[in-house]
Amino acid sequence: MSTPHANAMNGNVYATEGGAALYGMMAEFDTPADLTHAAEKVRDAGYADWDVYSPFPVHGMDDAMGNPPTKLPLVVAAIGLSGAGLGMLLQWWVTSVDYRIVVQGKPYDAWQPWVPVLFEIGVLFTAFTALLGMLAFNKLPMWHHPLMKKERFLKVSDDRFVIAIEAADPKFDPQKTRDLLAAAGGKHIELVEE
Amino acid sequence: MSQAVASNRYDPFAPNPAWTKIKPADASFPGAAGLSTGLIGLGVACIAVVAAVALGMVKLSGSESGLKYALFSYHVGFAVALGMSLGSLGVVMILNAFAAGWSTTLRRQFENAAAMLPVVLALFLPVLAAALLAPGKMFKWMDAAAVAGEPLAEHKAPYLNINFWILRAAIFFAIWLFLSWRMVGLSRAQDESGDRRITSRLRAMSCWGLPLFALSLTFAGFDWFKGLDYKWFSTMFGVYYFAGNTLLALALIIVTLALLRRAGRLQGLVTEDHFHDLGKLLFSFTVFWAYVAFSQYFLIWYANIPEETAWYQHRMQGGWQVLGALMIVGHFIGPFLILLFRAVKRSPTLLALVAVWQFLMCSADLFYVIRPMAYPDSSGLEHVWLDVLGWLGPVLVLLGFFARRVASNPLVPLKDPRLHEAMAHKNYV
Repeated sequence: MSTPHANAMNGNVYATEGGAALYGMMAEFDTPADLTHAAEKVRDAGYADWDVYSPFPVHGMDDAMGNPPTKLPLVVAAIGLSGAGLGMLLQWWVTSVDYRIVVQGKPYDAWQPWVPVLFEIGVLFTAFTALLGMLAFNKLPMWHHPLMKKERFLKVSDDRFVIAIEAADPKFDPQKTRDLLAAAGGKHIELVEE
Repeated sequence: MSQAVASNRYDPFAPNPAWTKIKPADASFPGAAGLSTGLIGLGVACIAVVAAVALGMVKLSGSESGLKYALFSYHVGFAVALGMSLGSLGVVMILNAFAAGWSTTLRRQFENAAAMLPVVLALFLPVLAAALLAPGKMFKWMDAAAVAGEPLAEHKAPYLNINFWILRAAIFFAIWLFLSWRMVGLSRAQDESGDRRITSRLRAMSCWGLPLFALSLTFAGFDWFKGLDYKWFSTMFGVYYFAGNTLLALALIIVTLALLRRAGRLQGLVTEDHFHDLGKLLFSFTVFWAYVAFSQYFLIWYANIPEETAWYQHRMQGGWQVLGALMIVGHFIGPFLILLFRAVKRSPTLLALVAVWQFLMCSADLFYVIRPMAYPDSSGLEHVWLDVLGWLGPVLVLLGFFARRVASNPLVPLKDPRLHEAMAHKNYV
């Protein structure tokens, strides 16, 4: 038996009828529009630990969920520019300090040949940071997720839309959360085991 | 039954609900006409002073002939005016060719600028007159006596001769005037009729018009700006010229739309999301310009062939190197870093300020191409006031006629079938 997780706010430990620790509660929706409107209601109810699941990106979902703007561009810019700077530094050190070779009669410290490499290294660092940063911010790769155990959840990769609210959320309450999801138009509202 | 069949049939005049959402007050700005006369008057006055210098009525201090300096100064202004208008024609055709929906409410201003090509033709007449009446003052190869016996001049003579040069100019303007007349005219006709087939026709025309546009723009760049130095070689120049022109057009339209919004127009028609995308375009063409400009320089620097490097060598001394450094820092690095910020692109005021800056930088870029040719040796800048007037004259005349056109036409295509896409346009990232 897995260890039950206590709710951070009220200290309650929620469990299913079978006695398994609770991950949270999920509700299904038929269309992206339903999902968006339901997300607005969950956002306005003040929940923090929850997410929506959809077969494809839904425009406007960030606003509907109240997500803050992503920090990824700042990280990408910082590392991309650092990478470009390091590329410049390496070329300067190699070609005009450490191992000087006359190439085509050009000066040792000519900056012109450094520019294509500066550009490429900048793009390389930027692209890798964007990809790896996106994965890191999304906590990916994720080898296991409690929702995956739900047969009905698997349809989210086809034609179903799901909101799942975690039991760890300070505002989580088995009855109130169920009422909220029902009022938001959710169907097949179920508890999800840890 | 027959009713159902009839409604399934393609109706080119089917109304779009978005059309009725446009409030007349948002889509017209007759007040812009007030600017027009003032701008044209000021521009003509500037040109008059430059003409007076050209004709010797005003003597320049310390130089034998004002004609050459006046012609070169005016040529920069002509280049900027042409760039704004021609660049806009290109943008209109690209938007039509890609069936762009988001930009429907922006397209009219690009069309207005593209409709300025007849004004540009009028502004070209002094350049033509100078070529006929004073050959060799600007384009050295036009003076047969001066280039007699020069191998490169003789080698290029089948292309660089004055008759062919005039014929080409006629072909360029014929292509541009025809394309802008159809692009702008059909779009205006759709305002009245709401005929969807016009959108398809514009798309088809853009698809065959763009190759013609690309070739004519490239060779116009060769003829009028690169050809100032007949000894130079650069296959990159056409792309470089295109990048600058498109930046000029984007800058003009961003400022125009920001001013119209400031005057309380285009509410709900041109939103922060449109400025965001215009900002992305400004950013991308800033990067594109830098990429092409550096590529042109880099290949010439690496190959180190004298007839190519002379052009840059000339611009690396006598003060021109300051302008070259300004191009790197002010035309690329500064705007690149500023336009990275989302907030700048989404603010009409901030984006318009960056656009004004890029407009000045594009002008300086054309100045960098054109003006050093007035000095055979590497002597520095003289007669700055004349350069400012020569630049302002054609630019103000064009802006004056542009303001008149903005005032006398609906600010957006009123019955475009894709209007609803533009009105609902959102940037989610």
